[in-house]
Amino acid sequence: MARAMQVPKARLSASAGSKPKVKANSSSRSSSRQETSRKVAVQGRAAPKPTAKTVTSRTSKDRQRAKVSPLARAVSQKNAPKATRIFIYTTATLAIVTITLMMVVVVFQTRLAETQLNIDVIEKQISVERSRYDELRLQRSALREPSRLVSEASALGMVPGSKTTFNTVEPTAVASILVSMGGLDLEQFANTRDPLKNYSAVKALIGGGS
Amino acid sequence: MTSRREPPRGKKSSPSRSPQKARVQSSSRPQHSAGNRQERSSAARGRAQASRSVKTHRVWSVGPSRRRFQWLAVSAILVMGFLVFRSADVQVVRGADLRADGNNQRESYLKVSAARGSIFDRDGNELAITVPALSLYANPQAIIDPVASARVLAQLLGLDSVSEGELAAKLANQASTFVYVQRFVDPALVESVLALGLSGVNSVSEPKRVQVAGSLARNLIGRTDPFGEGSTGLELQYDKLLRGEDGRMVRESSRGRSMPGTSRTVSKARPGTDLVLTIDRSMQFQTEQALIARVSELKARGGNAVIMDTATGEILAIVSVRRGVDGQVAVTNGNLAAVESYEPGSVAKIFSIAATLDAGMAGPSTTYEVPGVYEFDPGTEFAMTITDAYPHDLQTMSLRDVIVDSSNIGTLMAAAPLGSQRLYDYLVDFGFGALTDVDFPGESSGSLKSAKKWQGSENATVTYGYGFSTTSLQMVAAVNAVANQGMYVSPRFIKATIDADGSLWDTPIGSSRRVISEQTALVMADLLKAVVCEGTGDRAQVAGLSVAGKTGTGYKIQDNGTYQSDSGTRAYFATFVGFVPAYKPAVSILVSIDEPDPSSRDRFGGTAAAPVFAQLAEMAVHERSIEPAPGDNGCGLS
Repeated sequence: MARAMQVPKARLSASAGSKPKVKANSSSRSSSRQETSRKVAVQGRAAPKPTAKTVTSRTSKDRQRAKVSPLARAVSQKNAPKATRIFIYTTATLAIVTITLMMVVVVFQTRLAETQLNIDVIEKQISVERSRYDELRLQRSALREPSRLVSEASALGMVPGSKTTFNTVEPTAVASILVSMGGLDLEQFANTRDPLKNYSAVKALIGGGS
Repeated sequence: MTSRREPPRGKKSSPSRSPQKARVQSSSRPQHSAGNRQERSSAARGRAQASRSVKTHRVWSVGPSRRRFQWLAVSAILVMGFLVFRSADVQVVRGADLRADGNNQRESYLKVSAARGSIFDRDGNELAITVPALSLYANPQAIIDPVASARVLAQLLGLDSVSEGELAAKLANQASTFVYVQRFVDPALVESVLALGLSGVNSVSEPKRVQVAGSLARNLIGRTDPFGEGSTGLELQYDKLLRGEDGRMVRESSRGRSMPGTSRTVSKARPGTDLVLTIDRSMQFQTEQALIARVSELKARGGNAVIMDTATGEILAIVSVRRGVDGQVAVTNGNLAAVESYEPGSVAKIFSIAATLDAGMAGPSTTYEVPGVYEFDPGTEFAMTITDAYPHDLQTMSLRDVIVDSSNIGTLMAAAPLGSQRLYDYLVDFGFGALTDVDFPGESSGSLKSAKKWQGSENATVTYGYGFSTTSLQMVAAVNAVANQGMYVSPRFIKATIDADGSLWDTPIGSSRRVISEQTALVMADLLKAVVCEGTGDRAQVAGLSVAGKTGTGYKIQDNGTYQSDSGTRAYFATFVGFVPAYKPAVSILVSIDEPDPSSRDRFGGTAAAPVFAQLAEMAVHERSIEPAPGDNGCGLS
């Protein structure tokens, strides 16, 4: 910092008689980066030490050089137009926000595609299971086919009933049997499955579409 | 540099102020005083000079010059404007067309087939369901050698030479990209074919309609075409319900390859409605077997049988069998019991007698002097000689005797006081001459001319079953009205439906109406029971259970338009119709044998059909747990 403060002094010495181009107190507001820039610029010029320079030692060429074009001029950022600064900040912010949003969208899309793939797999499984369900229904129905049952029963030596006899059972006999059995197993009756209700429940669950 | 210039006139800024500072100040605080233009002009000049000064000397700059910035801004605005214009053009003006074009390029729509509804019997047993099946197809454009491919496929699939030639022609058709090699092939066979690695040959899974129990109830259920649409029977009648609504799926693809994860359902498939029939699978099977056996035994042409629930009108079994060209008797594809009509013969006496009783024209004990031969309208163009089925002299017959002995002459004499119009009205009430509520595809309404159009002998013959025709379904429904205490209940095939959401909906009982009084129905039951116990229908008796019924033997009209062929032979239509138990009816049953062997003694309703009726009645008693009324012990009932 102390070294950076020497720069204006050197300038003042080099351009004696002219007004300072840069205010000395500007360095206190400038950033370290700007200071570094100035330092590099001054070092690049290899300015003579102020103590070594005297008015008499300067040649006209030196004066001309210093007058015409300084090689570097440090400008404080605060001197930049305010609109420009806003523009820079806004652009930078927009760029960051845009990039962030794009990243979010990419991640979101990837997750979406991944979820869709999972759904596809599950739907395929549902379709396969539905087909299997239909095949099992077909097999069960084939097993319960009347003609198959008749042939199986015939093979076991069974014959259709040839005579119907209606017997009247006394209510007291029914009651005594119930007592001896401990009553009817109502649970067994309740558990009798209605195949249509089972089918309805499955259909409500899996819907349609093959 | 700026130090050499005079500060702008009127400007209050310090002379030592740097140009940059002046510029910043002027830009950040623009002077809006309209009264000092010169001052503003000077300030502007000063700013411009300061800007030039900065431009000249500045090495590190934080931004472009104002002019450059302005150019950049203008350019950016132009670019943005162009982009906005272009976006609006693409998105709004031509948006729809471009979107459609884009979709067409990358999206392909697939039909999601709705599962066709199943058909169940009344107990939930599947009668017809749709299952996935494999079909072999080929892409002719990918077939290298059509003839060789056809040869290989024919050998594996067991095709004959004609089919092989047809297949080769299909495979050689380069204009097509899809041809079926064979539909619904055994999975193992498909695997064998695909293992050959034939170019362009592949398999596809398709829904296949399967009638689970083979030919069981085939006449009623009907069938579907190869594309799964109903073509006959209930499959046709309820095709719209069974079919459901196909869904639609879109899949994005690039250069013919589908992109994973891009499939989405546009509209979900809605499965078809399931039908729960009134048919009892076990009763249907036993009825089919009994009828096939009897038709085969009698060398008959065919036969019909219908079993109807008395109270609800539900058809528990409906069978039509016919002898094929190979001599085998099998269940028909068509529901002939509802489609074919015939002259009923003597079973129609039930309705003439019932009408006579209901109209109060006679009672069961009313007697008639019945001659052996009756000359109708002698001496007129409608003159006709009417006889009974058995020869007899003039005899006194009660109304009960008339129906028990099935006297044609006695019946027409009993119904004569009723008049043609009233008889016609009764017949209409019994459901003749009109379609039933089942609305089955191709159902016949029979033929019943208006009474005013009855000519000559028709006024007499209608009373005993000639001059009008009826289907078996109409006949059993009419007799069921007698069984159901005089109330006609329309027959029905559908017990319930199960919609796409799995909800089961019971279908309401069909239309009903009173035809005869309850008292008349009771008297008729007694008379019809007498027919079975004492009359022509004795072979319909069931042990321990009273049966009410009536025999009928109709003559079929021959090719020459008469009831007798040129060779002098007749064709019979033997029927027995009745209900059990007689005093507590649970089911009404009809059995018809079409053209039994005319030389056989078993060609009449009482001999050809009544035994089958008894068999079916016993079966119904078992299946439906029918119990006789208290004290009913069949024909032994006192």
